[in-house]
Amino acid sequence: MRHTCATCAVVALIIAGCGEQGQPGSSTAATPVNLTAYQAKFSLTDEPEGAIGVLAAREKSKTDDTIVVVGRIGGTAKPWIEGRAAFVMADASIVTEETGHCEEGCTDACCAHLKELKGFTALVKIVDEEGRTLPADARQLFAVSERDMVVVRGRAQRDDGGNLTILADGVYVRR
Amino acid sequence: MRLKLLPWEYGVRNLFRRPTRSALTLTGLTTVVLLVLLVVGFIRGLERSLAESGDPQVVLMSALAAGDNLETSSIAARTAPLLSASLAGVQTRNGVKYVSPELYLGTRVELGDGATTMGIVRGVTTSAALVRRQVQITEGAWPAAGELLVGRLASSKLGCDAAALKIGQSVLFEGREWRVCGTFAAAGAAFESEMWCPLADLQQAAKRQDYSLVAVTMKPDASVADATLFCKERVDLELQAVPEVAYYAALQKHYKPVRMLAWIVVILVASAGVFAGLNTMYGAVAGRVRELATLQAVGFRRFAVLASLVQEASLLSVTASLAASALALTLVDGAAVRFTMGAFALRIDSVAVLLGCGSGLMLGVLGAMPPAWKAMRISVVEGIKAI
Repeated sequence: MRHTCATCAVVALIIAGCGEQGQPGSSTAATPVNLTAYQAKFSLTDEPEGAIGVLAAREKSKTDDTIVVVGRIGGTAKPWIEGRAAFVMADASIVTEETGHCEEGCTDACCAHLKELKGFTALVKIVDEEGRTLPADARQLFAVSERDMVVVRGRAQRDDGGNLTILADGVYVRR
Repeated sequence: MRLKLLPWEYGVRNLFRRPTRSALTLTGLTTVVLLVLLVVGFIRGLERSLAESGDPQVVLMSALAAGDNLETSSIAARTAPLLSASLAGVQTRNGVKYVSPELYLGTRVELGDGATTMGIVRGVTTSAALVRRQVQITEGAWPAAGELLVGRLASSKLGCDAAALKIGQSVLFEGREWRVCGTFAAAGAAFESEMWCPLADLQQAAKRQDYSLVAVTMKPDASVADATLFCKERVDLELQAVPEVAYYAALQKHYKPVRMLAWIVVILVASAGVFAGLNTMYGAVAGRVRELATLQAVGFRRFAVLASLVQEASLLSVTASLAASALALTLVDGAAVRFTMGAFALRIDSVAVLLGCGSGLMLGVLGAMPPAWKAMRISVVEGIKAI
């Protein structure tokens, strides 16, 4: 009995001694989100009227303009932002169902034709009343995938680099 | 029926009856365990160096085109103030944002004695001390203009004597002389093999106006997604956001073949040790056939004699494991090893000691079993008659 206890103690000490320090968790905070509530609020059942292409929106819109933009999700190797209701969309005349994507594992840097597309893209952020991007993945929120056609309604935000960000309050997916 | 074992002292005394053979076996086993500890220490040191370098709260903003290679990354100087102003979720204290613009260079360094070698230089501002939380100045002071703060393992990376990088010594790189003003440690992180100098001075010396990267500490409740969002929003800057942990994890992947090779060496060394142990034990047991048969004749069962032989071998292997561990901890632990992206310290930690001692014990037990079993298969009469 005494030997068994001693053996157990030694094994416990060895296991405790070998224990790795817990890997720090990912910096991505796992925030529980109510997808259904977000879907009800931000997913549009009817297509908004007066949609313009991404290229036209980049040319015409100014900060705080209310715009409706149609385009295809893509234009970059990774159009999604993990854990955020945001995605990159590109002008539908440039990115079609057959183009606008890279080989598996390729990035914008190595995919030359995507590098050329940055002047034809806009970032869409689905934001709440306070302007914060929703903490939910856009793919789950709108059941969309790369190269899907979407119509986005929201406010334009421009910067000195000529980039267009759409602070969206509604997204319609063309099926 | 209770099994009657040979007295413990019998096995111990036997070891001293043949001191030369015992000493030789002990030396062989110690060498094998020490080799195992060395190789495991190498693997653990490399892994630790890359693991400790990544801070889970830090995100590295570098050029999209650079991929994983920070040395080739070049981003506009306006990126740092832009990030400070626009990026949500950046850690702030007393109004100071944790944003560290850095210029990271692999460059030719000329030492005081005229020898030249390749070194790693990082141009930093004082905000690096906020973002790089592992870094601690161990001697001297933060570098002023024309000064250099050298990492604990910088001399190993440069392949020079530590005295060449003492405070007050000078080194030459990028066409300029730099005076060493202090040393720093970074809890085993890769920074320890670097030399840090003021960013503006390095930019001037290297005739560059850009940065290699901007390291940003995010608030605990913020996410790398905020940094990625910024990069997707400001596509004109052509930035990518990589969590520092992910960056070093990617480097770990590059070194996977080296680690695999090291593990193969561990297995080969341990196997060689087992065979050497087997050889020794066969010799030891062959010369004791009469003794073992006599023990059986006086009433000890075969298993008891076998257990006594394993006990002798185990005693030797445990002693060898402890001796090798003591040697490794005093002589090997912390010894610097130079490698491509810097230098790291060999690490004899709990895992290394466990593997080393485990191998040692395995050598003893596995090495003793087959010859002991062979001796036990000889009949008592034949054994007693054996010369």
